[in-house]
Amino acid sequence: MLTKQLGDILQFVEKLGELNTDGVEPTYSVVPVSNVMREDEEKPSFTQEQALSNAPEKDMGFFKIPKIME
Amino acid sequence: MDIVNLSAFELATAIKAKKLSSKEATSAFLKRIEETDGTVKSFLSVNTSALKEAEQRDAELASGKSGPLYGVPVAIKDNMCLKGSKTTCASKILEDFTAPYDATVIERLKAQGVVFLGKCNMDEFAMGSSTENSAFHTTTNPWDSSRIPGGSSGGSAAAVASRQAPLALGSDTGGSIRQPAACCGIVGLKPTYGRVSRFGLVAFASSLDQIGPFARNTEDCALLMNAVSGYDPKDSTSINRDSADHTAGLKDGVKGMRIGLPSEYFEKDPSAEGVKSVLEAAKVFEKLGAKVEKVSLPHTDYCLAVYYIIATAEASSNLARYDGVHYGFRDKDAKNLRDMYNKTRGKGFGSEVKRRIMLGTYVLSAGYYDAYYLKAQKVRTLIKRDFENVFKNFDLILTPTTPTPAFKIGEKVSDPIQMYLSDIFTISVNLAGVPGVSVPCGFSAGGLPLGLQLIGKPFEEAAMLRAAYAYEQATDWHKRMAPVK
Repeated sequence: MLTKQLGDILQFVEKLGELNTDGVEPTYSVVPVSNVMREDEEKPSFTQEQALSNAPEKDMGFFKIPKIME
Repeated sequence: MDIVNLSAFELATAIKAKKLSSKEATSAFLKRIEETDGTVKSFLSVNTSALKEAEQRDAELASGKSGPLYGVPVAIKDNMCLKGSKTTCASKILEDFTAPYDATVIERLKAQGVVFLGKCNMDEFAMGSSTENSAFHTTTNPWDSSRIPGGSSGGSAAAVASRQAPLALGSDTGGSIRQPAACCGIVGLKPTYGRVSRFGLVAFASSLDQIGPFARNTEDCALLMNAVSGYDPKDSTSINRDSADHTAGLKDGVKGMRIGLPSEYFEKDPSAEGVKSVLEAAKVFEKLGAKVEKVSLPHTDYCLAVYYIIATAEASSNLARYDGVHYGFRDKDAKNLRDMYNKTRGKGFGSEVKRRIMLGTYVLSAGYYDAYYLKAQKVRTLIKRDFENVFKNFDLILTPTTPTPAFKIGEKVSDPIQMYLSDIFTISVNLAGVPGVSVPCGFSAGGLPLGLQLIGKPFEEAAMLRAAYAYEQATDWHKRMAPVK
């Protein structure tokens, strides 16, 4: 079912091919700002405990994951 | 006085005048939730410390603190972080996620003395138009419980329409505030992209997402807009400019305003109830002194296709963070890391989310990037230009919010494209980054609410609300209350 649905959606978006977009700039963002920088200052942030508070598994202050190598 | 029927403005005024305490108000809404949420199912979680918070607000009010919404209760869509509360996005993958910080909108509302009633249901990760994609339950329409409330912010809209909350926050990526507002017969506003900080909003499609208010009338909507909008250095897409007072000039009327009716939104199905009611509304605007003329947004037909490329592409990138490592659900049976990723996502995401991640990954993949993603971004430019051209000569654009009133639960679940088509009138607004508001404009023959959409120039939400207010004063639609049945 998923295969058919994705096929249908792709067929639906094919419609854009009708339009001539030669020389048209893409709009990645509607906001006229780019590369917003900030000073590299120390600010209050999470404690280790807070950062790990939602971790599915943790050990000694680290995120724990299943083994990577067999 | 039935407290739950009062507007947010009336509640705030009564609280300020000490005729009503924040605790009394909050307790009335909590009682209403208890009585009606078995049917409506707007909430995913109710704030168990709401009454304590209200008492605190009352103490602060007694010590001289005040503000336009001080002590007023508000409901929040469950994709915004409220410190210490579950923030699930109506997804299994975030079912046990407790927000360790406040979203900027929450921080702002706390500073302004608002009380939080709870977190509202939605389509999983805000992907959908009916709340049927929620991993937990479907919210029902307060006007007819066999129908959808709209989506994705369906819980927030249903909560306000059923007087479980005077105000609510939602988020809108392709119509997710305006479409449910129309389906539930209330006011819902999507601000200009960059007007409201998205810090602490769970990301779906970052170039389109905006947080915005739901209310039962335009004035309340303006008050909540004032409370949440403004520059935030924590959101690099938020725009640093003078914050507007959306209530100032609200009552100045529409005399001399130029309103455009885009033919593309009316031609397809001129006999549809939604379309006819908006044409009636256009006459009301004319009578009030506005100049209403036909205009054209020639690339309207391409909006949906552009949206389903850009939104899915951005979603596939944003949702890559749910890997079962740092937070959220992890499948415990995995043999190794790769197996853990597969099983976590396989079990954690619902089918619409998976469909969009796959589509988004595909349109961004090498070999297809130019044909789909880049092409869509170029057509987006053409769509944006359509709006710029109309706004050279017009102040506002008027359209229906949805092609039909709220549909039946189950009617469109098996056909994604039919579901996507319910957002056909709202999507262009997100692509162009302009603001839009849905306002009640009548009822279908079957007694279901219909909505009109006013679209404004960037950062001119105030003009949009002024026109909405004038229309509201000239009509009675917003005064009808959902029976909750």
